[in-house]
Amino acid sequence: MKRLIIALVLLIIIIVILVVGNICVNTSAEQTVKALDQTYKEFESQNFDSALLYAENLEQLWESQTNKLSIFVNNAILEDIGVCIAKIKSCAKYRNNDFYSECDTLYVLLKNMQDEEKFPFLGVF
Amino acid sequence: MLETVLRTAVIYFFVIFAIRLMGKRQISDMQPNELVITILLSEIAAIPLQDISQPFTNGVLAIFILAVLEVIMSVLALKSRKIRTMLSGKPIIIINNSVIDQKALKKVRMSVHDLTELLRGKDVFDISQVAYAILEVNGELNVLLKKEYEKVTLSDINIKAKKAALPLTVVCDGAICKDSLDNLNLSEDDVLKILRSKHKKIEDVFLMSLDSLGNSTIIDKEGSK
Repeated sequence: MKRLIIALVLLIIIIVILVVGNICVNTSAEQTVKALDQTYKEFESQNFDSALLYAENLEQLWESQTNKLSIFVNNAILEDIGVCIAKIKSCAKYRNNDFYSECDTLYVLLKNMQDEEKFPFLGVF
Repeated sequence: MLETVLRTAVIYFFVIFAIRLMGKRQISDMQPNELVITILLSEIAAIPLQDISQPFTNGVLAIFILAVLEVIMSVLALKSRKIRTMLSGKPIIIINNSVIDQKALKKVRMSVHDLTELLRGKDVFDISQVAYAILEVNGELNVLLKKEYEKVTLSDINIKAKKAALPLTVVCDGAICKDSLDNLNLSEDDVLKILRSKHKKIEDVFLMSLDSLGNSTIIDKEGSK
């Protein structure tokens, strides 16, 4: 009976970790997408200085989230996103048109990261 | 590098906790489901150690999910015979009154050689001596010999046996084992008194066992007087 109680407590802890992980990943992804949207808009409107500022903010935001996310997300995915953000910053700085393709890649990477943490019953099989 | 060291240390404690939670037995005594869990556990525990990019939480969660499932399933198996059979299978009678049940043997995919080997492991060399042989779910063969081949016991020849008492270790390497004293309802002074009566000092005793009837066995330390 004692073991069963410990097992049930563990089960609750596992569920809490899963839910917290899910919320954490979704929130971080949404915040990053929001920051990316702003950067994209500014670059599209040819406000390059402002786009660079937003890109720097995006980089800072991502750095602040990386530690927390590394508890739940594969570090390789986090590194890919980090590299992509660095490229976006660089493109914004040098007004390079690769900016758009890098933004698209980042959207996809963030979407993938969110999908990994969802409860995909199809993904199980 | 440091991450690997830390991960290994933490995983070690988590795996021990998970195994203690499951209340594991020796590998040879495991039920099929317990064996599966143990194999899975060792595989899963290795993943976060081999692949540093994997979040540590994934490995730990997987270990605990297995442990939790095992505990829950074992509780359910305790309550329901169907679940117990589903998880562990049923014991099968292989020999019934010296006759080998060949269908049962085929069902468990055991050859006659395997059967005779298991019988020999039970000190049975002649199948005609066997009343029943049952293959347990953990793969062990239990044998009931025919009455005429069973070993003679004291009650068979009407000899009254002395009352059995369990000897407990009360002194180990010159130190008193307090747990055993509690079980025997004795104090440290009682043990010292027994040692004095035998002209021994506690620091010279390697092992001393005592039972509830007062019988004691003392083994001196090597090199002591």
